[in-house]
Amino acid sequence: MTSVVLAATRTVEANRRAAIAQLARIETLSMLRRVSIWIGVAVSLAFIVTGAVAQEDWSSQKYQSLVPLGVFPMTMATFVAGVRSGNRDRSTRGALADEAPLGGDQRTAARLASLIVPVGFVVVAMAAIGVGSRIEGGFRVGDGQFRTDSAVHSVGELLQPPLVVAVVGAAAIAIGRWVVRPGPALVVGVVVLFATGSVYWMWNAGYAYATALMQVHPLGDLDVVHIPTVFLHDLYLLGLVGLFVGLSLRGASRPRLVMGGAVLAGLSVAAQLAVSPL
Amino acid sequence: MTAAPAIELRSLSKHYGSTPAVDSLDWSGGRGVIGLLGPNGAGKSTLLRMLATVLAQDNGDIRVFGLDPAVADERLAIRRRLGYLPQEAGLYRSFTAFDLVDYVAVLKEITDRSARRDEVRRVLADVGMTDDMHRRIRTLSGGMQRRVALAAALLGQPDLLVLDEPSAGLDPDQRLRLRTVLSDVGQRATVLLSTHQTDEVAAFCQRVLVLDRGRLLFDGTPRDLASRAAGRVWISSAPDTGALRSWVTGDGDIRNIGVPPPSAEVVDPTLDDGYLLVATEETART
Repeated sequence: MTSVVLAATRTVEANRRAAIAQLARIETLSMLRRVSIWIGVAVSLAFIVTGAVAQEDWSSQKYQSLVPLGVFPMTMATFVAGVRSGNRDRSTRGALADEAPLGGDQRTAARLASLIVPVGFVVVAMAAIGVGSRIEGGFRVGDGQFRTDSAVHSVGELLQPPLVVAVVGAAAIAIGRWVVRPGPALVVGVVVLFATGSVYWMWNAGYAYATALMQVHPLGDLDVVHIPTVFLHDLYLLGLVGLFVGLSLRGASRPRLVMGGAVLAGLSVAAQLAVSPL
Repeated sequence: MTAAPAIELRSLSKHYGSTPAVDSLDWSGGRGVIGLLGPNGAGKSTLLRMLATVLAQDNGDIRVFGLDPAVADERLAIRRRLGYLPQEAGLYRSFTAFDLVDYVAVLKEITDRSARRDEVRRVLADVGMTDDMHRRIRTLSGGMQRRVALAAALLGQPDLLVLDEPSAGLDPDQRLRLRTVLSDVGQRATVLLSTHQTDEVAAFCQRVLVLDRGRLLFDGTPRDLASRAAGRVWISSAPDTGALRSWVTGDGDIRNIGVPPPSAEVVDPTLDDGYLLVATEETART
């Protein structure tokens, strides 16, 4: 009798997991249909292509700006798409199927899974930059100690943009689920992203450097390829992903994710400050 | 052994601030179509939301299929057997009718894609939306949107169907279709629907409840409710000051409810008369 009950329970649980997977698929297709995402793809591609072929105004310009400016439009687009996706159940006058077995957290989890679309695009773009720059012989970063004509972005550096998009997407979905009207949140979010993304060079010192969304190496007299904070900063971004995923949920996993994410982000910042040569 | 009733309420209460929406309600019910009547603010929607597991009570107990919606696992088990049409269903306006109902079907854990699509087509056909199923929600009229929401509630042949004013915004043809569909569902399941239309209750409900200010004023058959007004409805040519309620009919006569004068022309009561009498006497009593 007990084994029959256990088998039935497993079937119900398996069916539930299958439903959540199907929900994630629906949300992913919905993300693919969002105009903002395709605008982000188009502008990011344009920035990357024009940035790659343009003449440099200063030594190391391509090395420093190609990655952050290339991913910046996609970050903006992901924020807009994420807020709208997260806000879908808040923007309607009543709730849709509030009584259904798959509730708000499962729907939000599926929306978080749909971030595979913008994150996937950025992974492809970064892979293209990484492979392309290695084939072309790298970037010129000037003369002097640690300067070279063949600098390439490390794996840690190339991992940063997809993580940034994941952070921004998760934060956007959390905001979308929280606010009733997304308009003001969209405006504030875009301004904040502009302040943290497109003007990345403002974040090149001390605490700001460790906590910046997009960490771009200043090229004083540093070994840009072996700067030790890169992977620590990736961990920091991973912590932020956990934090915002937790904030987007309401159920039992929320405190674990929020605390875990905050601790990982905090420790990563401390570690960066401890080892940073800046 | 008799099966537990689908719904059991014991001393159920829900307050909004100091205002009671549902006040110490005791009731149980099983299979069939049950109509819930009451004036605005009677507590109908609050009661239905509690039964649909989307609102928690302040006091008392609810059991649906013998399960307690306050317990997470039991609430989930109830939800797997439940269909609910809220007063305002939050339809995603950019979805087509088909995609929206399909989305809800996934939320209801109907995972076999082929079976799910067949089920979506079936419920959309039940509400007369076959020809418009590929139109976006934002292009549909209010009545059509209501039918899409109703289709979503019908998914998966629920054992308990909770409907908050399902006929609001429907034309007479669609109302007739709705009655047929809900009568069919009522053969095998419990259908609890709120409405302001007594003709609807008279047409296809086996049982009727009258709620006012969160209290249950009547529980019985539509015929019983109508008979409450037996001998207490009369027609006159001038307003009768002794009547509890009076109104001018389409014929220009005045229909009165209350204690008729000795010479009054007493007529057979309708369900409307019974409901108005019960509700008015309660208002006068309090």
